[in-house]
Amino acid sequence: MNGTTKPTAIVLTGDGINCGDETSFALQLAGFDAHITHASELLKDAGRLKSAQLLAIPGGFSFGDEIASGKVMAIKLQAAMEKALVEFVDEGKLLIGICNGFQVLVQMGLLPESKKEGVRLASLSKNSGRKFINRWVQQSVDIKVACPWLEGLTDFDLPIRHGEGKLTPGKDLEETVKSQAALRYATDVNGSFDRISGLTNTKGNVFGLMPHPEAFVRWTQHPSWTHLPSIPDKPPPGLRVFQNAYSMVTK
Amino acid sequence: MTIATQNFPGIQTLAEKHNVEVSDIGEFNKSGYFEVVSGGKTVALLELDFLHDGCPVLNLESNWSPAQITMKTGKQPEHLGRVLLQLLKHPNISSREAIIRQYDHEVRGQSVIKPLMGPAQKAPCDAAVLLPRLTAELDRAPALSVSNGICPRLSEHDTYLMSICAVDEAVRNSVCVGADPDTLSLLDNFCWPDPVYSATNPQGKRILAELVRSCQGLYDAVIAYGAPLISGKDSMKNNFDDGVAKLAIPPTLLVSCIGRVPEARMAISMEFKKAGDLVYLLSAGLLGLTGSHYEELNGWQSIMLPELDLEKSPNLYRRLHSAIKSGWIKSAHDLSEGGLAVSVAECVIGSRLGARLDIAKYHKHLLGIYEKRGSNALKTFDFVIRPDSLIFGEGPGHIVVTIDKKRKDEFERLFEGFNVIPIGEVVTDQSLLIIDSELPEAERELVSLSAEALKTAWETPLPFD
Repeated sequence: MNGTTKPTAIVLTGDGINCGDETSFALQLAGFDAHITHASELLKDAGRLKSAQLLAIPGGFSFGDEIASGKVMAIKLQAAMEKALVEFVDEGKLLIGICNGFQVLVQMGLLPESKKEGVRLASLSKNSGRKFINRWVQQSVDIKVACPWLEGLTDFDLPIRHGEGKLTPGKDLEETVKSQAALRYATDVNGSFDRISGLTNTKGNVFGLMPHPEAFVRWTQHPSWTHLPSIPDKPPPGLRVFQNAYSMVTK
Repeated sequence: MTIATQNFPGIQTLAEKHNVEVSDIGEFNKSGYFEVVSGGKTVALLELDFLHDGCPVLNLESNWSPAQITMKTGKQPEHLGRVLLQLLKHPNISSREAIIRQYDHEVRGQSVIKPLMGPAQKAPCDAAVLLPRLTAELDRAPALSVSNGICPRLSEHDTYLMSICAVDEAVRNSVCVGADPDTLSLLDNFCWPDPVYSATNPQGKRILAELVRSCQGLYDAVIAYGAPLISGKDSMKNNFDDGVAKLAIPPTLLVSCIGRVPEARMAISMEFKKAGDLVYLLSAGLLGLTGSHYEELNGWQSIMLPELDLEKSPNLYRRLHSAIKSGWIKSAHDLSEGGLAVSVAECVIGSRLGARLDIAKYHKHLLGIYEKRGSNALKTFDFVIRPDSLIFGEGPGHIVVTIDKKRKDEFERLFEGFNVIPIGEVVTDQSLLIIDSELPEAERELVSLSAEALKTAWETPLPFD
């Protein structure tokens, strides 16, 4: 990659995705040239992926969460471009699914990573409290699970904003799922298995998480920021996730 | 929507991309008629003159007479702390967390001041602050405050007062979070019972008069604050009648406010910040008991109406904004439902800190005002300077702020000529103590409660899920 061209990111939007703008903004801040692309355009022409180094499936309520969160989008993506997506991932390009996007990746069987294509190992079901939750929750990085997206991060806060975030592994798959659990909630907030909030594949190029890193790219987004003695000079943890992605594609 | 005719195929392509339907249902012409055709048959044909000017102007009658209130008050309750806890449990005052957590209040990543802030995400903020655009300026980007004001409980007594209080509350909330008071714009939403007199609506003339009074109050307040009304919406038939029960809402004006916060990082959240910070009460007017939650709790009614000094309040808020820009203000919170005691209790609940307050100077300040008005004022309102009135009185024009001790002199100098009353200090001990050292030793302590007790009361679930 030459120094003057920015790596390209495609940010999926449309059909109920509502975090496209801020996900794209976070990627721009990190150094990407981010293109917000309507799902119908990508479904029509999966070849668009060829020019991109990163695909982001942002949060929202794709297709109104019908059937199950992320289900319809997953079916559509699988039907129209499963091969292209698998190739994209096999080439080592980056794929991130945030909140509803993570639900899509889980529905597609991309996370937790399974040996057989399209086979789902877990689901993200209704929070144990049966209610939607919007609050900031401390996240802890599992250093035993290699995840370049979280390089340099240990414990940090991010907001969760979901009704279906309880990761539930299939029968006898607990250990498989644990081995991919890069990120956990510091406390149990939604009944998620082993307090898992984020998963990555073995290669580390696919990352899915329920909390929103794109919602912590400036310090004044944190609910306790008014208690900071001054605004820190370093980038906030959410932005670091995207900067790590930038390092991965420019290395 | 209307589009230039030749662009319809473009719109079709766009609709297809977004999976929505689009239909071409007509066009503008010069016929002078609005015409609807269905199956080749004309089903509607209206002259444009009629459509635009056909509605006759209503000629309505109103009749105004001031509200008559029979005074009904009682002795001061023995435990004001217990009253404070009861007020914190009141569904108009208690925590909205159960609702706030159940919707996505951060989507689009633009929020700076959120509904609940502070170290435990509990502090109920006065207004939202948002970044209208995502720009690389990040924390230094100019931001927008969004606030509102609503005081329907005053309508029963005076809709003029209700309106200026609603405007003031919206303005005050925006100023508290850091908005420049010279950049505010307002929206007015009238929600009114039927103001048209008829045999079935015998109260119509009075209700219309209340609407006129409300508009007069709205006019005076927006002129005083120099804040234009840029839009609004009115709903004038808020009555219910099923043949058995007849209900009407109280005449209500909801005022929404937007303002410019110079930089995101200047925004202020309402909870206390640090032990040792000094607590001040800013005041431009008088608090009252009429329509207060304290009065409701006791089943009292009085004619101790709150007052707003519209000559002073705009400049008081300007001074506050200049102090915020200088970085002197650690927290700012409007005084509203439940009065001073509830306001400082909320600052404690949101902070993991406590406060020791002495309202003696505020007490003296009020005595001074009533003495100037003559002894009659004091006699009529024998309880206006009673401790319960001081800490539970509600009304416009009041803000609780905290500042760094080191800024005391500059802060007080900036507010010379305004009522800026020192009332105490933030402490590490997680409790709220309110005393009045003007009172005899045995009666001094008004409230002494742990932050935990305040929080437990305030987090009483709402009477619905």
